[in-house]
Amino acid sequence: MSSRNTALAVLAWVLFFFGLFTVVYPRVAGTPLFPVYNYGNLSSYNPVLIPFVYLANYLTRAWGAFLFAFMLGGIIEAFIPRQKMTNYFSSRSAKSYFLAALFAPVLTVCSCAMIPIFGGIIAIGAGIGPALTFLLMAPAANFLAILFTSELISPLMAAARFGFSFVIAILIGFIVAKTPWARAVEEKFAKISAAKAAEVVKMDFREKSVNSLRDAYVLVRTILPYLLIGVAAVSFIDAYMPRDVVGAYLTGAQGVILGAVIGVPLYTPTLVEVFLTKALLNAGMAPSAALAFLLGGPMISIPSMIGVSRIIGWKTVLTYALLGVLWAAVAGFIYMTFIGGL
Amino acid sequence: MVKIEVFGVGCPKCKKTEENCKQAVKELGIKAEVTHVYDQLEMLKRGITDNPSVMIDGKLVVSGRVPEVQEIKKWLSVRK
Repeated sequence: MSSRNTALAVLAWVLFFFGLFTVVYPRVAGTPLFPVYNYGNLSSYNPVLIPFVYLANYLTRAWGAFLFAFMLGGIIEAFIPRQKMTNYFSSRSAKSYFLAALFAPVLTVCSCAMIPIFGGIIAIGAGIGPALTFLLMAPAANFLAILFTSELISPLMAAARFGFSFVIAILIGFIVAKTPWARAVEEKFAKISAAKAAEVVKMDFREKSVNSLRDAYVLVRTILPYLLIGVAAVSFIDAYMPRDVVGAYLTGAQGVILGAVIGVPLYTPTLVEVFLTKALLNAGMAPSAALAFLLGGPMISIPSMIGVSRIIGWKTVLTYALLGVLWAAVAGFIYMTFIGGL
Repeated sequence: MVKIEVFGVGCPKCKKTEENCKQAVKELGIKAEVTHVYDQLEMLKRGITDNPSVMIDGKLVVSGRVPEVQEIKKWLSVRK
């Protein structure tokens, strides 16, 4: 049993570093490590084949990134002491907002812990502001999303996505915390204290490594099926979306506003938003509209709105959702004015 | 009658936690009731700040990871 665990622990780190290598290698060498399958003109294929050639292209191009991302996700799940980290932002100060935004990307890889941590941040005394900052930042700027934005679209877009998410999440947390209805919610939960497990199990490095492999597998099983279906659906948009329609609606000021708004009801599975944005960019969407789309949709996700509404009520939820869309559009306009391209 | 509560939102890890709890109860052959709490508000009121979590007779035994069947059996036999 113990030698089997050692082998699994070694396997976890080998897979992680191999994934990292395949991500870094093309950046340094300029060519991909393994051949990439290219399909040429997508709309010339038989419609039945389109999802397959599309997926074949992405799988040959990005399998290293997938491997790296899922292993990193597993390692974060197994090694990061979440409760210890949330304790760092337990005060009502500007520092708490900053740390909530900074730690959010590594606090929840698995969405099952998202809302309990959100509630926990309110309960340990930081209040609703940093809790919201965490809630908005975690899905919009998690490392999976940022890595794939960088790999598929551009490093500049990835940096903009991270930077603007960071600023917007802090701003919204700060603004919402000042509203009377959010304060009423805070008072309701002020007396709750977090339950502590009587016995904390200490795990050694090997056990944690084995767990990271297990967590990576859980992530793959949760994310990959929806991702494959999502990307297959996106292939038709890439093949058949009329260029003149995209050029007419998803550019300029109108494009930014549409981009910020449509992401919310469209609710795409994890990572599919990046593939969809890439397809729309191919069809002529403006980069500024793409940024607004990548910010608005993931931040204001409907499942997390429904989940937290049980705790903070619909009034506070709608306040942060409206602000989220508004700031996503503002970020798009800033990008359009000062950066423009990819 | 031991009361085991699993806190989760239906994610794969939370389901696995519930399975492991049921398995532990079966292996020990004790009388226990395993329930799954999905309500986020209830979790917060009980002080649960991470998932999956397990409470045995109202006491938190694990939070933020899937416990092994062996571990749960140990916790259960200490309580008896």
